[in-house]
Amino acid sequence: MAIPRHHSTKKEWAQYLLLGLPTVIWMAYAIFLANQWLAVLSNNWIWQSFAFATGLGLAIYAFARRLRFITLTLVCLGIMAIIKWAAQFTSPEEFDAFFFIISSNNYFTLLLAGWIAGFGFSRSRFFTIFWAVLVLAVLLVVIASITEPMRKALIIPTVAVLVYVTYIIYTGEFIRNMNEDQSGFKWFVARKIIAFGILMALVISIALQMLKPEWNTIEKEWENGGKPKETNERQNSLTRNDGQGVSTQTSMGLQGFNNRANKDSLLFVAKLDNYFEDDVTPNPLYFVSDYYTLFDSLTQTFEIDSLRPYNDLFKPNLTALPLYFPMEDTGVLGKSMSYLNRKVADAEVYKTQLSPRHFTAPSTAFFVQPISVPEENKDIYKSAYRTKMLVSDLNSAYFVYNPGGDEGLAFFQEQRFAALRSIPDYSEAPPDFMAYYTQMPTGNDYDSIRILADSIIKMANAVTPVDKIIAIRNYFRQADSTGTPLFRYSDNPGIPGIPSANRLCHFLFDSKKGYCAYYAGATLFLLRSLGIPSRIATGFLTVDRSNKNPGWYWFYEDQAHAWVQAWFPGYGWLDFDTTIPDTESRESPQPDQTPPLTSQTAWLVANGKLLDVDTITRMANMQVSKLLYWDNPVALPGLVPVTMDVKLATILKDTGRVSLSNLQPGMEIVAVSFSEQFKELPPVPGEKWSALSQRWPNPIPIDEIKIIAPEPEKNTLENKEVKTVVPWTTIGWWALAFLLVAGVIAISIPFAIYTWLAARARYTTTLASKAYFSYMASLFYLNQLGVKKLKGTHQQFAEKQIDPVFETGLANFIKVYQKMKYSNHSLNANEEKIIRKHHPGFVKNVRKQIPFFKRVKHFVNTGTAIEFFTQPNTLGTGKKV
Amino acid sequence: MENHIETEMALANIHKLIANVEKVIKGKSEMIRLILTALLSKGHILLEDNPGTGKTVMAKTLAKSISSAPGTHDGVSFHRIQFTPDLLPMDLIGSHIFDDVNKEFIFKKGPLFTNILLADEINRASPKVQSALLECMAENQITIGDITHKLHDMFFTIATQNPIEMEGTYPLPAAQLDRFSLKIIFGYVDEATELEIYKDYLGISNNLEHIEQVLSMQEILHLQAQAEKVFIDDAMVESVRNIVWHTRRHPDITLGASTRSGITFLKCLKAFALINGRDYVTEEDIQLLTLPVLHHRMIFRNKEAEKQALNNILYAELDRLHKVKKTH
Repeated sequence: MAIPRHHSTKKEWAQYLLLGLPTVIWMAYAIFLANQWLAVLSNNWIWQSFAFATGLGLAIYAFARRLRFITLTLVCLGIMAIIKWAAQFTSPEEFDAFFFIISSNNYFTLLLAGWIAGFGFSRSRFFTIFWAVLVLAVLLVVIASITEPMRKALIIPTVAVLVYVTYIIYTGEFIRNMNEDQSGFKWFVARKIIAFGILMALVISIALQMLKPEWNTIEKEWENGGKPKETNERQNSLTRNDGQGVSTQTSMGLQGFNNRANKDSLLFVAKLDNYFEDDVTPNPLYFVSDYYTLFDSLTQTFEIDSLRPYNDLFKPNLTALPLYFPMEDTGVLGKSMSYLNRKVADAEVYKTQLSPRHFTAPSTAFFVQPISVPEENKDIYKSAYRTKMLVSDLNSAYFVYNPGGDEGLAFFQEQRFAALRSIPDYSEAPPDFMAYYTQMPTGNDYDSIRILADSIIKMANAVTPVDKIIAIRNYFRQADSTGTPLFRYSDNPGIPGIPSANRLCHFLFDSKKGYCAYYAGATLFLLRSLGIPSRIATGFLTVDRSNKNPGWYWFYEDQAHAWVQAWFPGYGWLDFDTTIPDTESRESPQPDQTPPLTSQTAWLVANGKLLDVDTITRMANMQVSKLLYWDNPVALPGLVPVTMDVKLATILKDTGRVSLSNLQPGMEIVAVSFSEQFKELPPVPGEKWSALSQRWPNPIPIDEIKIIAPEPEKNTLENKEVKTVVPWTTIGWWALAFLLVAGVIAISIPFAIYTWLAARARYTTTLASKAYFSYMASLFYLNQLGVKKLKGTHQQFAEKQIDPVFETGLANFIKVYQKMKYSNHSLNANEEKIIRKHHPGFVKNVRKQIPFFKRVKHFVNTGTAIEFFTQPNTLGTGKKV
Repeated sequence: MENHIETEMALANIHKLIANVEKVIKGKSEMIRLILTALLSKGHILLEDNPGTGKTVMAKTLAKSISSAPGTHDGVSFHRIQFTPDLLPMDLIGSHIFDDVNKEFIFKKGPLFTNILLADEINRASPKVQSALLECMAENQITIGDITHKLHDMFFTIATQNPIEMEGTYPLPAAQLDRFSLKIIFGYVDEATELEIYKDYLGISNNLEHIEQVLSMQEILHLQAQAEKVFIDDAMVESVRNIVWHTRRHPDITLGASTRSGITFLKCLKAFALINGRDYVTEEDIQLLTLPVLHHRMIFRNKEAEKQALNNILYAELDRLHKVKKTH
């Protein structure tokens, strides 16, 4: 007799399903993560998980059957050693052998780990606790090594591990104590597990909800501190890579706002037509990307408020604009609330690494027109735009820096201050505007800033707003008696470790060193505490480095900057930069490239749909919906067809050049012509389209075609991940197909089993097997037809339920079968005949009584088939003793 | 071949007996078979149920069906003892009384000296009286002082008891219970049979009086000898061992089955096989006998276990047997 099993089948299955399966799933996740970091695992997590699962399952299986742990482990280790030893001979290539040994080592280690875990779960009550501690230790190591503590990266593993650990301890104990003999056992287990799941979900969601503010704080503070993966590490924290190029950050935390920028990385080149009154000295202006007007005292971050009142930020979506078609928003001009000393300036921006979507211009821009990059510069510059802005005569990048003996600059500064001194206070300003832009949190830290601001203007005897600003600038620039500056520029200002500490106070009163965001933030609060409306601007610092090309400015990555704008009635927003120059900084390389001088004019720009293209004759037809001629829009009588000669045309898609074959009919395109032929055909005012087109050459020579993506393509980092995800419908279809196949398999299982049994009964040679399989096949057949054994033995079942109805002689057969099985007599000829002839006749008789559809209906029930094999004798028996 | 013929003869006799008893006791053929199993395995039987389910009539009928010698119409000796709380052991086994004539004590045999003993409501007597039954049931003899009195070769006790929960009952000690080969719960008859019983309820006593002796005591003894010859396969012996072992290890069973109960089980299996007309034991016999033979000997942890535990052990074992192809 076999030694009785350690666990009943139910307990064993409970271990497989309730302990084994979650452990394997969790382990698969862990192995999957480990595969991404450890090269030695060689990226085969599915098979590795499978090895672990095999070990675990085998251990549970073996333990339930009282197999010896140590013996089997030794056997396992022995096999491992033999394979390692044999591998030397099997593979001719040395490297193959080495690789094989490494990967088989991995598999065996995981198999062994699964083996030990499985035995632990089965054998020891305290193993689950040990396992939980181990798992938590792994989690701690992982968290400690995480460099980018985003919510996703932290919460998911933590929650997963905590749930798993609680679950495994709970379930381990539950399985140990459960009574598998009780009635409704499966339902009882299911109930327990579901209740546990609900409880865990509740606890975790409450905990997450309570921890949410803390999370947000931590996340925002770390947001800029993490190393961006897809770009160089020396990137400025004011900028980020949005997948197509560099862009400025959309939020500005203080911590980790290091200027680790790459000084050699050119972002863009700009030509700014802004000169001092002598029309010779260029007046550089800071390029604005965005404004930070709100301070969130909870998270200690400055925030962009898209709903800010008097929003004068012009923010076009550049990728959505067709080439050469301008976009204008003069509404911002009114909102800038300025009318004194204003003029319109032009600028052209040629981008290299700056994101094609990113728009930056001196304040206050109101017009943008994407232009094409000149042919000879297309290798360097990816895209370009022209912009117009309303600039103040008083505004200049030369504010902080010492004029350095340049009389012109000194004069300009004096002139500017004189003009601004005429403003005594802000009594004329709209109250809501003032309230918004002088808003400042309350609290001890902010009160100390207010006291500092008052003491600064008292010392300087400043009365007018501009004097107060100058006093603050001077406060940051002052030096002590030995000439050591009080404030210093530092990439690493020694941040206090506690996240909620007010860093600005630390900067102002303790460390006195920091980078642009510190100076901008501190200045903002000093100004606002004095009642001067102000905001933080981010964008790019403009440095005039070259005398060769006046008006051209080169922008490198380390020029990403934050500074303060203050508002003066009538004069509007003016830039004030209080950041102390970094004395240790290396100078950026002198721009040695020649600027992209536009030698060509886009005489004709057509926007519309491509009808067809002939790649051999290189001719194309398009349906024009919008047309610019000599920079002026032409009124079209609806959609007009135009034939184009594209022999010389450059085809552009996004920012790259593609071949002519990429043009497909139906595409939205912009066709540009720089042809000199049009130069001699100036537009006549009032001329109709038909007359104009008559004068043009046919076909129209086209030099550049830009394909416009049907929708602005989502190429940002965040959306890249989304793009690779298979659509839900596909998943749905696959799931449906899978379910269908699984369903068909499930319902055909009983039939397959029966066929197998019947075939064995028919073709087996020995009488004993024949009897056995006939017996099993008959009982299974009855079981599948829904004939339930009511009570008692099989013999009684046959006598009372089957034979009276079906006339099959089943009782007789069972009698003979039992005789063959248990008696010491051999069967006589008649009995042998009963055995041999039983099954086919039996099925025939049963079929007579049960109609076909009823048979099929019952036969597909897999549940009864499973019941037949799990509890053949208890079927239908009353539980009463 | 000789054995085979005897099986058929035995079966014929048994059928005669069953048919005879069934004249009086209707709708209880399963129960009659079990009672005969106890008789043929030289054991004793305990019937448990509420009063008025026919236990006593059953015993009486059986006694009347067996004649003391072939050809006579005298039934075997049958004594009925109604157990009460004030019953003394003397009342059972008999006592020494002084013979005035011979001036000596002579032993006056008590009602135990009989072939069939009906111990009615056995659990209403004190434990002292119950223990007096022990020796005679186990050893078929009574020892008083230094004299051992042998009982009849055929000594069969039919005890009845009311469910323990009823008032005025003493639970039987485990040792006493172990002496009974089988305990069966008599149970009420089904609706149709009950109606039939009512219809000729007057006839019951008549039937009982006019019951015929169908077998002689010698024939019963012969059947007992036949039962011992029934073939039992090693697989069946193993099965009995497995069941007994599992009762000892089951977490919900405080007291499992003894080795003696295993032996009794084997005896009963043989007798039961013979009653069902076979000279070999099958798994069906095990299925039908496990509960009557073993259940009353065990102590269970709780009510739920009392209902389930032994059943589960039995069905696990049957599952195992069911899947075995052929054992020899």
